[in-house]
Amino acid sequence: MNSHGQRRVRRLPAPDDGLEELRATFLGRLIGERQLLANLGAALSQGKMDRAPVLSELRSRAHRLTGTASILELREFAALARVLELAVEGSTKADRMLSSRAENSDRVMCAALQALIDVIDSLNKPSRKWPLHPCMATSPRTRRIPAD
Amino acid sequence: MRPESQRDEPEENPDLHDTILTHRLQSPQPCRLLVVDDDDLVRTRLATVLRAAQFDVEAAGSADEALHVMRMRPCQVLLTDWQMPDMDGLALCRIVRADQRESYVYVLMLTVRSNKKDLLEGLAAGVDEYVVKGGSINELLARLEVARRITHIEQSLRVTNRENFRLSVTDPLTGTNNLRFLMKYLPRELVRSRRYNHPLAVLSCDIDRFKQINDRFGHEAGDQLLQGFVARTEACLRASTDWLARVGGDEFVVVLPETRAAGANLVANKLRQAYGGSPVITDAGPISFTASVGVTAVEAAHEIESVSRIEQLLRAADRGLYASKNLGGNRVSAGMVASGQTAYR
Repeated sequence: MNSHGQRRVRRLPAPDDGLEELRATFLGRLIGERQLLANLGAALSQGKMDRAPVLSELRSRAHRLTGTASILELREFAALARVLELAVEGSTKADRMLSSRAENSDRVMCAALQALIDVIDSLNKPSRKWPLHPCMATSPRTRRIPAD
Repeated sequence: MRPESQRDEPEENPDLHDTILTHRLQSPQPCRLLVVDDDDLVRTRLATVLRAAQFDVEAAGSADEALHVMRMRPCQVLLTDWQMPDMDGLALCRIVRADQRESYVYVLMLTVRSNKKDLLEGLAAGVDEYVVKGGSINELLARLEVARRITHIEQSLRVTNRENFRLSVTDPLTGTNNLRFLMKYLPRELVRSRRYNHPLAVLSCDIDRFKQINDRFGHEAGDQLLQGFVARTEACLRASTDWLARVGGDEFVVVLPETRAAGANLVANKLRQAYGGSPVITDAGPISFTASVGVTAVEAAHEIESVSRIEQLLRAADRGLYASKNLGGNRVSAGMVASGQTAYR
C-alpha cells in the first residue's frame, strides 16, 4: 500500500518474449534479401526488359519488409522499406502514364533502394553482433543513409 | 534521419507489460483470435503478444488456411494482413462476411497501407477496424480489447435471444412445446410431407373431466396431473421425430411425421393405455385419469396435396376428439381430413 492507501502495482520485469530472437532471424534473412533487391535494382538500371514485373516484385518485397520490420518494432528499417515501396509505386504509376517525370521517379526509387541496401550492408559488417537493432547498428558518424 | 536519442522508444516494452498486467488483473472474457499473415515472424510475434494479453490465439499463413481453421473451430476475432499471396485480406474478409456464420466475426485489418482510400476500401469490404502496422502494440491491444468487448456483447445477446426464443415456444408449467411452437413447426412438417409425399399424422388429446379433477383436488394437483400427462405422453413418442404441444388448459396435440393412419391409431391407443394404466402421484394423493384422443392422418398423394393449411389437419383431429368425448371419453376416434367425416373406434 502507498501513503494514499492505494494498492501499489509492482511493475513486473519484462519477460523474455522472444522478440530479440525474431529480430535476429529477420536480420539473418536480410542477407539473402539484400542480394535479391540488388539484382532487381540492377535489372531496372539495365533497362532491357519489361519493367512492370520487376517493379511489382520490388514493391512486393519492400512491402513485406515494411510489415515485418514494423511488427518487430524495427521502426527505422520499416520506414526505409516503406519509402522504397512508395517510390516503386511512384515509378510504376509514372511508367503507366508514360510520364515525363518517370526519370525523376526512378531516381527517387534508386536512392531509396540504395539506402535500404546500405542499411542491410551495415548490419552485416563482421564487427556487428547479432541480433542488432538497426538503430544501434549504425553510429551517426558512419551512417551513409540519406536524411529523411 | 532522426537523431539517436529520438529513435525507437526504450519505454515501449515496460508500457506493454503494464498493459498486459492490467489485462490479466481484469480477467478478460475468453476470446478466440485468428492471426493471418504470410510472414512467419509476424505471426509468431503477434501470437506471443496476444497470448500474453490472454487471447486464445490461432495462426494461419494464408487466407485459405484461415478459412480452413475457421471452419474447423470458429473464432471471434480475425486479425489479418491485407497483402498476401493468392487471396488477400480483403477477399478473406468478404468471404467471412458472405458466410452465414452463427456468430459475428470481428475483423481487424493490420496493414502497412495507410492512406484514406485503402482504409475506405477495407471498411467497404466488411472490416471492422483498421490498424496501420508500425504503430504502438499497445494501440493494437487496445483495439483488440474493443473487439473482445463487442464480440462478448454479441455472444451474450445471442445466448439471451436463444433463451428468449426457447421460452417463447415452451409451456412453463409442463416444459413441453406450446401453441406458438405448434403454429411455427406444424406448417413445416406439412411442407415436408407435401414435398416428399410422406405421410403425416396428428393426434388431438384432452384429459377427460379435467375440470372436476381440478375442483376436487385443487389446481396444484391439477398442474401435477398435467405434468404427469406430458411425461407419459413423451415416453410413448419417438424422441427424434414425434413431438407434443400443449395448446390449451388440458388440450394437447401430438405430431407424428412419417406416420400413416394405422400407425397413428397404434400410438393413440398406446397413449390411452399409458394414461389409464396407473394414477399420477400428486401432493393431493394419487389421481387416476383417462383421456380422449382424436386421430387424423394424410398418407395418399392426393390427400397430402389436398391439405393446404394446418387448420384442416387440426380441425380433423378435433372432430375425432369430439367424437371420443361424445361417446363418454377414454377412447380413440379418427377424423377424416378430406370428407370431414369421423370414424369411431
